[in-house]
This record gives sequence, C-alpha cells and structure tokens, in this order.
Amino acid sequence: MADVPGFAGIIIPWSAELDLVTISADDGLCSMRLPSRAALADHADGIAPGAVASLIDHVCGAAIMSRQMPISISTLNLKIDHIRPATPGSDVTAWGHCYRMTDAFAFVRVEVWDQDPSDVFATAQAVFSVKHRAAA
Amino acid sequence: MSADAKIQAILASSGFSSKLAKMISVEEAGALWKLSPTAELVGNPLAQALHGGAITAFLELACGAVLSHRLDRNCLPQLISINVQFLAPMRLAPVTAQPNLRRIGRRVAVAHVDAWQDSPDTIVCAAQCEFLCEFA
Repeated sequence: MADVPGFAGIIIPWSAELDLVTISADDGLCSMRLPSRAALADHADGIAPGAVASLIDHVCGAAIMSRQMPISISTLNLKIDHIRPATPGSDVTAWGHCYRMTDAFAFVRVEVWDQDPSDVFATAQAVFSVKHRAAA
Repeated sequence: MSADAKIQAILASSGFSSKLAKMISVEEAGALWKLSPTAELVGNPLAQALHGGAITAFLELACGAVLSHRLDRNCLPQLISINVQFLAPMRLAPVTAQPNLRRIGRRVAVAHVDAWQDSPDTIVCAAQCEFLCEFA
C-alpha cells in the first residue's frame, strides 16, 4: 500500500482527516504514523487519546487486510491502555499485528510509541468481525 | 458560570477536544451528549458507517469532561484505560451518549457510557473508562 489512508483504493475520510501515513502493511503486520499538530493535541500538547484511538482502530483494520483481504470488517471491541501521556509535540507510530484470523473474527494487538520504539506509551487489543468471500 | 459554560470551557481546553466539540451539543448539564457527525467522521465509505476511532474519542471525551466538571477542573483528565464495545454499525447520523460516573476515588475515577442513535432502548456502543484524578 502506498501512503494513502485507505484500503484497496478506498479513502477513509476520518483517517484522511488525521493525515495518517502508512509506513508498511504486509502479512498481518502494519505500521502507521500520526503526525503531530495542534488540532490533535491534548492540553499538554501531546497527541490526544482520542486521536490515538483513531490511529489504533485504523492500524487494526490495515493489519487485518494485510493478512487477508475480507469483504468487510467492523470493530467488535477495542481496549486501549495509556501507560503514560504522549510526548508533547511528537508524532506517534502504531504497530498493529493481526495474530489470528478465523472464519468470522480477527484478533489484533497494537503498540504505540512516540520517540523510542522500546518506550511504548499505549497498547491495545481488539476483536473485529470479518466477512470473507465465499470459497470458489 | 453555568454548568453548560463550564463544560464548554473544558471542551475548549485542547485542540482535539475543540475539533470534536464543533459537532457536539451538551444537554441537561452534561447528562446527554449529542454528536452530529459530519462526513469527515466516516470510517467505512461503502457502508457510510462512522469510524470506530472517532466514536471512541467521542465517548472518552464525554466521560472525561463530565468528570472534570464534577471535580471543578478546567482541563480534561488523563485517560488510563478505555474499553469500547460496538454493538451495532453506526450510520452517519446523530449519536447520543449518556456518561455515568460510577466511582470517583482519590486517584482513579471510573466512568461508563452508553450511546444510541434511534432510541435509548437500542444501545449501539458502550465504553468503560478509567481516569487519573490527579490533574496536571
């Protein structure tokens, strides 16, 4: 995928509004960056948790689609833990891993960091409902 | 200052909350939160469904702002954890959320929120959030 916040050429409006950048997406692993800007900041100038949630939800979808492109996916549940606030003024990067996919569900884990990949500031776990094409 | 004006001041305390606040009206002194989404909140253009991340941000904002108001603070609290359930797809149509502060301890506050589109009898998403009560 190029650095377009969409899937299979379809632009996702909210992800485009956030200027999400796909760094890589392949084989169930996806990396995306959310650039820092004032409209996405919390009161301390770090990226707001709501914007991080949007990044996480999108990276989950991209990780699933990079493993196997289903007809449709929808979020069933999403749990996000914020280990510490995001560093003020810093871009944030999310790594999503779709570690398991069944006939009906996809299971994803995400880690989010800002300046150092070993210093993760948020983690997430999500389950998506997926619909696959019928086998030929 | 009236309750509504205080809540508006909390929403204006950060770039991201101000951005979402343009689509939000708060009723009954924070008891009901109505999101009137514009097309930029779409997460699935084919189904014209709202983005799970944007909805997560809205639910968290409602809980956090109600907590800040209760504690008489003027910025949003630090989010520790959020757990969101999506019960039904959400159309590009107004969403009403009802945040509920379940416990306010010395360090941690727990909030729950239910949201619906057509009728309060049909919940379309719900979340539980934990916040740090010690404000920066």
